[in-house]
Amino acid sequence: MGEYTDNQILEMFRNSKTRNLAFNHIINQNQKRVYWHIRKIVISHEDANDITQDTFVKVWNNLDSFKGASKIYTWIYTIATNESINLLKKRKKHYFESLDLVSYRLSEKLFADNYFNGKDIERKLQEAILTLPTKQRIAFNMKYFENMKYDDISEVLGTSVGALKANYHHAKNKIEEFLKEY
Amino acid sequence: MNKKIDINKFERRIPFSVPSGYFKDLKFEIQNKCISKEKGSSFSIVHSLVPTIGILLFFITIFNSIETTNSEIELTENDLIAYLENNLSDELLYEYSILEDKNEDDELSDEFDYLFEYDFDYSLFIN
Repeated sequence: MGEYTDNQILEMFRNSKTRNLAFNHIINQNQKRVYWHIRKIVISHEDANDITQDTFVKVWNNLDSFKGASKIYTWIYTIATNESINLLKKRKKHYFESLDLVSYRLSEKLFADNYFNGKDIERKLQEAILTLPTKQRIAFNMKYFENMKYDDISEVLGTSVGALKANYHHAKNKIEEFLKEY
Repeated sequence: MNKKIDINKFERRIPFSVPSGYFKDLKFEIQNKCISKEKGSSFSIVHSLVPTIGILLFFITIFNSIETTNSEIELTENDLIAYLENNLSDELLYEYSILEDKNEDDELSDEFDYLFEYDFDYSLFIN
């Protein structure tokens, strides 16, 4: 399968004959990174699996109305991020806890997760990341693990590039402090 | 101990894993979900029309039955007589005749009371 530009994919998607081909291309290009992006937010594989599927169903349903103001992949990331935050908010309502406390509770899942295969220091790093406020954590993950451009992170989170850079620097210091105690 | 930690020197690996063959299946699960949602949405249009059609049919049936009943209500005089002949029991007719007699008696007694009161000349009345 050749590489297509976003405009070509949108054109193919709007044509009923090539709609499925375009969507297959979108899944092939994005499913792994979208899954890992979600997994880093919600930690559990089961939750990440559900949200990944829901995200692509939303893509399928809404790509027709996508105006092309951003890249397709950052648009998909925005949907995935919102879906993940919504899940954390639901948990927050369920347990009457703050969103950040829910994030902290996620660290407990690290120990219970069957699909965690990191070394001890990697687990500790994940724990440190989970102490960050949710949005800062998401931004940090996108920069640190995926090495995404600040412009793209800005498109996903709707935060200015300057604020993202400052946040990343602050988050990095906080994590290093946490690990120093370890 | 004041050690310096630089996370930029860490191996940037995501320490999570997935079940084997997960991403291969994920693609098909997403496709199936999209297809079933689409089928569901076209089915749901028909499905949502069912109660409306049901209500419409209900009102049409009631309207028709009222129309039929009204046309049947237009009875002729002969129909009424036939109905009374067939359905009125003798006991009911007897009770009715007693009631009628009683009413007549009451009227007469009122007239007699009046005549007595004003000392009426009965001979005039009889003649």
